[in-house]
Amino acid sequence: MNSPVEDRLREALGGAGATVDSGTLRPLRAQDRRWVRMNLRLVTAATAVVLAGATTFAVVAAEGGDVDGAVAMSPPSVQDEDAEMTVFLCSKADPEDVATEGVDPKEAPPQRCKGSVTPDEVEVIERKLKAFPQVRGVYLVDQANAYEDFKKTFAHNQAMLDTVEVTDLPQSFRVTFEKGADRNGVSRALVPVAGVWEVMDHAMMGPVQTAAALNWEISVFLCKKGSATPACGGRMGGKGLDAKATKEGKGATAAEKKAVEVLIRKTPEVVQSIFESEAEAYQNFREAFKSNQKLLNATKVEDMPESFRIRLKQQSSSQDITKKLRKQPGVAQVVDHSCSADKAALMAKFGVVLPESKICSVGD
Amino acid sequence: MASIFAEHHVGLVRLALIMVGDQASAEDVVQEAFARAHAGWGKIRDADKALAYVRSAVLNGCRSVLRRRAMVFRRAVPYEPPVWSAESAALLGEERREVLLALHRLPRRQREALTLRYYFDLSDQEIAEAMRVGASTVRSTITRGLAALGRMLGEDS
Repeated sequence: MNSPVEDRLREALGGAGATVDSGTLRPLRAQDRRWVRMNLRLVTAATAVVLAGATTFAVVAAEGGDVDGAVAMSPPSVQDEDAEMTVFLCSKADPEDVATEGVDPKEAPPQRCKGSVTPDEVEVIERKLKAFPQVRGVYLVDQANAYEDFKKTFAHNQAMLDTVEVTDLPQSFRVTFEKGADRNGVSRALVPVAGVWEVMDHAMMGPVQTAAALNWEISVFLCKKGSATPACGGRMGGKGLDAKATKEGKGATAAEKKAVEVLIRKTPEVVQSIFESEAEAYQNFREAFKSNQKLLNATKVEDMPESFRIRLKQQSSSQDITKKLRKQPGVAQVVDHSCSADKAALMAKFGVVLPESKICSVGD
Repeated sequence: MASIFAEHHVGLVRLALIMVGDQASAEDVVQEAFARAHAGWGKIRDADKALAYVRSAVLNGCRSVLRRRAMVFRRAVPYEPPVWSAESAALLGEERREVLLALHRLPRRQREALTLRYYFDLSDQEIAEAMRVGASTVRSTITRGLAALGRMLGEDS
């Protein structure tokens, strides 16, 4: 009675299911926190790849007089730059609100915080942190300090300064550890504590940097044959994860590449630009993901898109040129790395998740 | 009641994995369903109902994940490559990958119904409870889903 389709389906589902090994599953916990952590991790992954320079994550909080109040609560030996973990506390404005903008409120994930953290809760959290023998120093950054630092960090980005207010920034504890500390253990122990919104381990965010992205502010990826991107003439069926190419797009032609190149060269803000071939992209890719053997094995030179990489004059706006480039035929995607970098820094340093449109105000 | 989760944990994660594609998200979905169910245990009495409840909670969670991926981070979101992606081809084999890809091009209901039927071997009634639709809807959905799948895989059946 079974048709071949049924058999194949059964077999494929079995195969997919079998990739889950019961031995490696995280145990279930009764605390209702997982959801939100994942949400943030998605953003982290998205931004960490494009963000160049781990230093952005490590450089933390204010300097000089700004921190007097906070220093009183902690050993003065803790320097911002050394902070290895940030514990964001609940604030009145749950940052989730911003991130899920546009999502039906009924379908938004559950709120992680019930209102702002209370002074009592702050004290409890601090005591908990200090009770860990592996924790070397604990340091509270309040909203005012965070905002001062925020203004300094994003002085170049008016759109963000306009969007974010003092009350949007959560308070946070910066934590440093003794060598060889069980940071995951600390992180896990803190997540369920009332008033804790998110625990961010800086080590988790560091190493995934592409060297190519570091040097270039804008990447212009060209269409590949078979691409499903609408910009390349492809079409996506389904939504979200299910989206698959139902119609394959065309690769960028030589004339289209030439036109993009000319446009770049004619733009006065461009200081430098290079063309990255498939082979070069593959080299950079291998370099960036050298710790992920499985991914390397599965990726071929042909999988890499060609691209132009652009560096702009300092202080010049990237908006015009990205807008123009997006309209060029043969261009699959234009990535503005300065936006992604700001987005990642905003999240890692200040615990605020904003959609990229708010950060770069690029409409397309 | 919590033993339902202990007993079915792996199975539920597998269900979520087939729906969302990567194990980390799948585990998150199941964890979330567990946490929510935990709050409402008192209201569920008989064990059969509880399992159906938990299954639909997981399916709901998967829908939310997919929806959120589609809406909030519409562009450039490198979550872990789904099990049916080219990166994972080595894990699964080309033949299975093709089937899973096709499965994920189906409408949501057909995909869910087919997974519950052909992975978990549930009855029409059980599927109906998990998906919160009628049993006859389940039958027609499965029939249509299979037909569509067959067309996509280029088989006549």
